Amino acid sequence: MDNGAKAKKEVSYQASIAVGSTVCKDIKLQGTVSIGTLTIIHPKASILAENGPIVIGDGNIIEEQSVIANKLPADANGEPQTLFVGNNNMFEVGCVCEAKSVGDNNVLEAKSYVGPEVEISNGCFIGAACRLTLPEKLPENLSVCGSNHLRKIMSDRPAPQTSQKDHLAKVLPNYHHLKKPRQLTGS
Amino acid sequence: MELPDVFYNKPSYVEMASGNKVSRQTLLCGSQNIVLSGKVIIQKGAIMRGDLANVRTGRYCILSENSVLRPPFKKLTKGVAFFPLHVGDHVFIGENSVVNALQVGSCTYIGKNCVVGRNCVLKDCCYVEDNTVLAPDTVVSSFTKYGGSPGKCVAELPECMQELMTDFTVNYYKHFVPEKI
Amino acid sequence: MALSLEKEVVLIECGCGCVKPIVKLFLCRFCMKIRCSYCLCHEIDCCFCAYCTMSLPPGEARVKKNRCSSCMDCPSCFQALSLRATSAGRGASFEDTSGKAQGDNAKATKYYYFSCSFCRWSTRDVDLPDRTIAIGGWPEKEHPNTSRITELIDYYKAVAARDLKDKNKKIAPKTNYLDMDYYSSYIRLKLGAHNKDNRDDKEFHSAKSSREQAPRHSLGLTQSLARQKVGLPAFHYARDTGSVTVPPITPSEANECTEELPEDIFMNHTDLSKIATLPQRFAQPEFQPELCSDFYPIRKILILRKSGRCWVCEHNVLKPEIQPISVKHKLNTSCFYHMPEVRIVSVNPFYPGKASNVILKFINPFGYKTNISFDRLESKDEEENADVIVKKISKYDREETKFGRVKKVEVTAYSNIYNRTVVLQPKNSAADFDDTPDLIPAENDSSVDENCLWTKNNKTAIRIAVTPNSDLQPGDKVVLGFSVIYSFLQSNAAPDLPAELNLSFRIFLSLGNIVISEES
Repeated sequence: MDNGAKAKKEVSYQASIAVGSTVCKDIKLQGTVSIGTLTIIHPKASILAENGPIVIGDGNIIEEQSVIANKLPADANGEPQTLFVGNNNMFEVGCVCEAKSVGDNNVLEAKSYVGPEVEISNGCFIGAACRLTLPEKLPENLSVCGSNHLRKIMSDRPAPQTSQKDHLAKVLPNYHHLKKPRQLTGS
Repeated sequence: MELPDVFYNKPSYVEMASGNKVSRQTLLCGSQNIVLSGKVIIQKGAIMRGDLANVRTGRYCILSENSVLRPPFKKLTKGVAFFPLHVGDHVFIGENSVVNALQVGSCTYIGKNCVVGRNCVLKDCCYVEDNTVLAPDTVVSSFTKYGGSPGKCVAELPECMQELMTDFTVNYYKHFVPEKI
Repeated sequence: MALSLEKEVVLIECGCGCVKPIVKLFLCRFCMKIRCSYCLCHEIDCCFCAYCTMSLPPGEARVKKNRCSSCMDCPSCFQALSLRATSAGRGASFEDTSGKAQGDNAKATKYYYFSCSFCRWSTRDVDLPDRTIAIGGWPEKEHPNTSRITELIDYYKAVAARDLKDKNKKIAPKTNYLDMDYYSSYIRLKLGAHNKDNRDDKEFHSAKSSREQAPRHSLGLTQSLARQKVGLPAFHYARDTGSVTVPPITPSEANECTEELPEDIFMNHTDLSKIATLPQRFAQPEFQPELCSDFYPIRKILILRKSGRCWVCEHNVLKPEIQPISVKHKLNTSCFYHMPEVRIVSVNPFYPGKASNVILKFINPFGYKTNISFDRLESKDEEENADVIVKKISKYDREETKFGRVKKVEVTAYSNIYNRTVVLQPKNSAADFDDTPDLIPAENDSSVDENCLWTKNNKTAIRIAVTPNSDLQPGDKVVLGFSVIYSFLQSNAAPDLPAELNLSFRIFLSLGNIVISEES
């Protein structure tokens, strides 16, 4: 991919949106993005596949002002890396996720920040306004909260937000224009 | 100190008969569920989520840039619901703050970059410092100042907080003037 | 842009010598003097839980260790715990709905547990069983040494009572204690209590009549205050018969050998996430858990609403309403309502020895016209009771130095404000909300003053020239000080005080710093 094509790609996007997802039109997309079924994206969210594609799994909630960005460096072969986001994650208002990968059932609370060298496993809870920047792989069911980033392993994973998702899937179409589900043509 | 004038770009603001000044670059979802009682300033990039539940603000409320007012989500024994968010009179909400509260009382000041967690109740005459994170379900009682993460009571407020906030918001509104061209 | 209470640029001197912003000062309407928090006797009005707003009288709250009986704090992050209800008891899966289905038939048994929504701690983390009652009744953790502690407390209470009794026997009514006896007896007389004192009536009445001249008010002296004032713990003469029996205690025994450290203490890997931090241990002083697995919910500490009373005349200056949620006050004599407020509108750069223009705004808080005039600081009439207050403060509030009580503000500038008068129009609260254009040029009343910039409602702005001292260096603070004299109308004045008064206060304005002068 030459530089000219890359620059062109930054303003455009290619999105594959699965059937059953609720994706508001008023969001910012960039690059190659794939959004799984039952995922809910509130208006004013940003998904920026800057350095490589982003694949978002099923049943995620992405709230307004939150940013999911692929800031991963190219791999050994010079190929762009893909950011995989698992299922049933919750990205709350204004969080910024630039993580290496995101597992399932995680909660990123409002205004939290996860840096590009962090790997989020499953069932993690990142508290409001917490910043994780150092390279690490978070253990499962980790909770980080407070100004001194108090860490502990929770006994159970954060409760699933199924009921909230059902509710939002019902309510959001009444107020917002949605992006139509479509399959990405080509690879 | 007297407040300095804050200038706004007149064409990018909508001024209503009731005195509300609302930037065109805001996101007021479900506007039929949003009640602005008058003389409310909503600045650029602010978000009010009326689509989730009713949002009601009192008179002389100031929503700074990129602040988010969002009705809180509550899990009930039978089903789920977003609860209406009530904001009292003379409330200031700073830049980039996220307010998920159930109730924000009158004469309340919320600083910059705050996160007010789900179902918080801010009583009348309280103060939330800049960069505070209030844990969900926190109750901030009157005449207290909260700060830190998680938010704790850090100080008491003077007993004339009500007049101070009234004065502050009324003055802010008066000094919020169109740019001179 | 922060609220004006954030910045302390305009400071007013209190009767005791502290300088504080206007919002933190009170005006005692009987002494007609400014009082700050050090010159006030703070009394607990009511205790209440911020979370459930349950209020308790202070006495009952003390019995309950000043903690709420139903609300809990997280032992890990000290935030409020929220009650979670599930249909499935502990051990069963969280999402198990079969229990709910059964419950619909036969009165669903709900299971409740506490969980912190900030750090996700829950009572299930430490294997506390779920409960079937929603509110209250969460068992208090029993301390292993409770009986020993109560035994010791009872013992020392008895010892203290005995000591007090012995001490009272020795006291002869000296001059120093006349005050005390007078006050105690006076109250008892007022309350109609039977006078058990040995003092003969004549002496008592003479003491009474000599002190009667001091103005008294319905919100006057309380028992506790009078006792506090003289440093007395209780009405000792009410129980002067019988001897105090001190219960026997078993003394603690010293142990020769101390426990050895566990063998593997230096070998095992420490997992910090399982060990309590110091703040977490200190939050539960009676248990001080070392491990996170020993955590137990902390009962929420009650917060209190207090009223203030002038140390000199003992009248209330601040009295909140009874309901803890109310933000109104029965009585609030904050200086904010009782003296003209001075605000700095704009300042020009300062150079040593050169005059710069400063615009000040004066706001009249009263519903009547007020004349204000200005004077130099030198003309301070020494407050006769300032010493009294300072003495009392040093006796009752030794914290003063800790809070950095400002002793003296150095004035580094002078201005042409002295000997000027400004007339402030009455306050009209409705006019504040109208939309008349700002800054109407002043319709000068009688005194045409070119430096009076504008008047709007109860606000007037004037321009003054401020000259910093010529020996200041760049970066030095420019502080202007003057005293303000204003007319004050007594609405419900005490009969022996005039209805209109001229009050004054000393004010210090931090206007900014000296800028690097143009020449250098």
